[in-house]
Amino acid sequence: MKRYLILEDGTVFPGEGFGSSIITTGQLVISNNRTGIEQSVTDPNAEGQIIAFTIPSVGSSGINRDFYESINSQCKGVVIGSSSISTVDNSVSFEDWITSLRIPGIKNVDIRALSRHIAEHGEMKASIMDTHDEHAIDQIKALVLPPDLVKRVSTRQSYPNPNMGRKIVIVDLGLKYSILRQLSYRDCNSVIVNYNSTAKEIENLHPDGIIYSNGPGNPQDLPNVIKNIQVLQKKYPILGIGLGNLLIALANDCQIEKLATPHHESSLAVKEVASGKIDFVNHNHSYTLDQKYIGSSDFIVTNICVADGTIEGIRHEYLPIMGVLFEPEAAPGPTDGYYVFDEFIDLIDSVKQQEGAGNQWN
Amino acid sequence: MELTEVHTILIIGPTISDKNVDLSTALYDTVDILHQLGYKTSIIVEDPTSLLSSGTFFDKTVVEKVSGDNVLKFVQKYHPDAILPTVGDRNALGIVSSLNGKIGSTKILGANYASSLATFKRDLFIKRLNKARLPVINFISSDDEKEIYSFIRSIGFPIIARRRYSNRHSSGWTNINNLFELDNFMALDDLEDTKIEIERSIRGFSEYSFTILRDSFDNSSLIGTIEDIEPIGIHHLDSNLISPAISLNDSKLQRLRNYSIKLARVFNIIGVCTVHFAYNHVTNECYITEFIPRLSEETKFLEYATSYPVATAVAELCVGFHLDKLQLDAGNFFNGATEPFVDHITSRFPQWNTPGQKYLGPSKTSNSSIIVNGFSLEEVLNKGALNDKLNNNFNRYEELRKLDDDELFEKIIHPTNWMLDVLMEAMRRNFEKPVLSEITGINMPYLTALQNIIDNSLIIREGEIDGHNVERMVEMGVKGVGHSKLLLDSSDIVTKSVVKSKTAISVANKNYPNHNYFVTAGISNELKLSDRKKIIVRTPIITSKTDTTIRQFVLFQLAKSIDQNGLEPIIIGREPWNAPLAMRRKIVEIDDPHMEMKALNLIPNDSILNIIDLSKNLIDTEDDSRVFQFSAQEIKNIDLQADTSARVMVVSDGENFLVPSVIYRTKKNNHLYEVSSVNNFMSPENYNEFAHLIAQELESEHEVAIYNFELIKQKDHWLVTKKYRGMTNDIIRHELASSVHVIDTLVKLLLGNKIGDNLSLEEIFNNFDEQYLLTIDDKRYKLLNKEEMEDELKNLR
Repeated sequence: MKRYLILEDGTVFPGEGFGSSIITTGQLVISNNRTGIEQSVTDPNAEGQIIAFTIPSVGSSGINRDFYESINSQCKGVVIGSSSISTVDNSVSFEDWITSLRIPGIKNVDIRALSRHIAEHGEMKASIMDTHDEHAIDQIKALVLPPDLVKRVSTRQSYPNPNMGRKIVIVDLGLKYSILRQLSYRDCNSVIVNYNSTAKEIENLHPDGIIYSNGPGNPQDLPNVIKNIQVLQKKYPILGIGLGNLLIALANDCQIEKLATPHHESSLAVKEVASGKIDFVNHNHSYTLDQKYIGSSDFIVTNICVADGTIEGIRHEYLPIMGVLFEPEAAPGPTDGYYVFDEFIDLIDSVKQQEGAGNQWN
Repeated sequence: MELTEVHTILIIGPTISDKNVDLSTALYDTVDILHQLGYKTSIIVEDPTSLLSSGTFFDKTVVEKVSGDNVLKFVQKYHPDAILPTVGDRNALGIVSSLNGKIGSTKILGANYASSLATFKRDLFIKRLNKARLPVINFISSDDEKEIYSFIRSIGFPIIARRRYSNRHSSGWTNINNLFELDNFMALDDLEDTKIEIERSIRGFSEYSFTILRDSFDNSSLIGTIEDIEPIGIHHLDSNLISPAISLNDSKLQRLRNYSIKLARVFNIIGVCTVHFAYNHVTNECYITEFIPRLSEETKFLEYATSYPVATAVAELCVGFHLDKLQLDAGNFFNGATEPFVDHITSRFPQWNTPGQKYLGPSKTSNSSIIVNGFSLEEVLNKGALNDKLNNNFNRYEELRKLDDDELFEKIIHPTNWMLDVLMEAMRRNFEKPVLSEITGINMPYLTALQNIIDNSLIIREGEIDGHNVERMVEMGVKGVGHSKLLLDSSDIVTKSVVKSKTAISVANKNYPNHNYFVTAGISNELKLSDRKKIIVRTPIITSKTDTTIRQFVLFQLAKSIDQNGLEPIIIGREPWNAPLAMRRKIVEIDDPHMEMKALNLIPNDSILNIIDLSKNLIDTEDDSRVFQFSAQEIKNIDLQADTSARVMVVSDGENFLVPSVIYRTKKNNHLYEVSSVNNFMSPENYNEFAHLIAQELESEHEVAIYNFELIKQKDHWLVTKKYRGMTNDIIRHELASSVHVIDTLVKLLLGNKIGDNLSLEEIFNNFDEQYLLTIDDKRYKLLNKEEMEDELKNLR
């Protein structure tokens, strides 16, 4: 069935529809992920997004339920160039899978032309529709995307991810399961809480450390979370990932800006400033820290993106706070960033040691 | 010695062999960047021609057999600070492993002793990998039954086994799937001193290769993945290759990536390392089968596929550069710390010189390859392996149709280079795809792509192409390519033939220097041309190593001349050229396997000054495009002594002509000697006679063209026995030996210049060159100065 991907600026990309036949509208994101279609589609970061995958022959490698990053699919639609209807491991095909998730998809799109258009004109709203008349374009222009993306994806009720080690409270802004997997590998005893949990509620859980997870949307839409961070950061070690990192920066008088070329790529190099070590990690963010404000803040830059110099990691000079804008849990992408979790645990341990020493002294 | 103390580098060049892959562009790029960075480079090489096209950026060229002895002699005489073996093919690694302890403080860059040795010594390879807990196929060689059974208990079935006899011969490998078969094998003739060798069978596993770059600060990046359509057991370079590896999901990809990086770390390889894997998608078993710590066919292919300047980056990493601070040329930085992202598929399809079927196995049989780009599997298969213009697929189809089902099944079991055609025929006869996949080890997505192609060709053959059919074909991923004339050219559906750039959108790698395009389908055209007038060069298909060298040389010289004369060079061929990095920004290169550029007028006619069709122009001397040629019998009949002959290259503007170079050929002591640029030593009588004969032959020719004459000395007179229009394989020798640049002259004449009075025949004959090329038996080359040449000529005469 012929369908159209229509962009907010009126550009039309024809293609063939698959999956659900509903009309969908969302923020169009070009994903240069090499693999990990399952992770991308189920990533809570993709809430409200139509994802255009630029890899060729999507789905040849098969679909694996083990790679889900949340129970349900999160994105509003998928756009691809070519797909394969059979898979190397005889699992369900990509198109059948998308159909089962009831997501609309469009294929045989000139994905190169689409990605160049977005690179030139910036990210914008788009819709997958059956027609491409002026009325349809007006509809997209008029549509306001909901600002409460985090509210939609955050857990409504707190739940534990029990283990025997350090107690970590994870503030769910759009938590990916792979973060929990990494904490489980490290024996962390985690509790996942709603993004709107108060500082008091979090303190009552007596955490050894707090993680502000990644998530969708603009961090400035979450003033309450910023206030909570301002309270909690004086008492607990904090790790911010993605959106969490941006919120930590905002809580400390830094500013953020939208990237001219957003990072949606499963393997982009970041450099550790101190050592010069290069790691390839998954990036999935459209915002970054404004470099002008970092200098006057108490943060030091720990990681930068090698390709465009974007700040990708920060650490507080005095407080036990660290944050990374990339996704250290990979999923998809290289596993080079796992060390971030180890560093956070070291940070927790060193704070504990200091506290212990302090108590002895007192 | 620290890397910072390295100033002089000896580069071990490739040997002359059709078995070796062509790394001439890699060699060029390596020497070029090292020169620009201020290193003094010397090269030991057997065939210097690919380097001589530029000729100014190395300090010493030793044209010798590339052997351990000669490398050692050089090291002892000139004491270079370091040796670089990465462009020297497998032979160079052999040399490096033989130099252990003999070269004092001279450092080995790139592949060190241990890694070089481990590519040859299986025991060392297994031991190192086991120690590092990397997955490797364990192997036992024993005559102790207990030990053998215990080993098999640890690895499980299936296995392969063979007997190795005391005379170092061995039986063929036998597949053993269970204990019963093993008992039978063990019970066979029990000769004295016979050892049994056993290893885990990886028959039917999929093959992947991962190429990583690593700097001396332990930073690594995966610059590309390749998968073989055919399973393990068929030589990698006889298989149809696809990049990127599309059948690996994220967890498999990261697992193999981590193994590759760990392997490079274990052997401390600085530069490049390609690791080959066998992967079983059913059991998720995976083994490292080999690693290549040097530039190779894989790196060349990945340079085509991703535009990442691999050879340049490797040279810089070897001398201690940081991965993210590389330079394209001195002072022009680029970010090497990327894992290049491509949104298209690049495929390499092997080619054979003769059209018959070849049984495929672990030894390489193919002679060359073609490389194509596309956005779907169907597109690359259509352009490459199933492109009738390249492979005679129609004849294959006709022949396979005559077979009955049993005969066809036989062909499925025993893989040949016709495998994809055989599978298509099997699917036409409704053989089940899962069964075919099980037997052949070819993964399902490829069979499905073949099925789509069959369905597509049925539509074209039987039905009329209407809007509905076109949509269906587009839906199957078969876009306009190859059938552009048949399909509708509408903006509404993605069937419009367009030209796309090979550089994909990514934050990291969008700025690589490359004006390389391919013809495909889509709604927007990316071909960007300048306002300059264009000369289009159509390139030939490569069928041998000699072709490659000649094509590289001629294209480089042509592109350089066209650019220097203020025109825009556009190189169009059925496969990519892979220009040296220095040239990539100056040319527009278009891969056009179905020859659609011309048919669809994708370049405006009024901007084209001329078309140089090397697919016709660069002729093999056996080709039909000669103007005339005496047969051997005719030559015999008129009693010509063919022992001494001369080959003359002539450039004509339609009225006057130049003879820039003469190659003299003679036999002595059963060896065949060829001396290029012999015109400097010819007698005035010979000049006059040559000029007279050529003038006679060119009387009726009025085009700007290059001509080649072959003359044989009959008693005291010369006789023209062959005349060709266009460039022949001799072009390199003529170009190198002559003070007049033949190719540049041709471009100037095409621009409308005329051969003036100041460029008379005499003038050129008197124009002495500094170096002369002596070729002995078509293999050994010597570069000589004038005195040395005079001595050699005296001896020959």
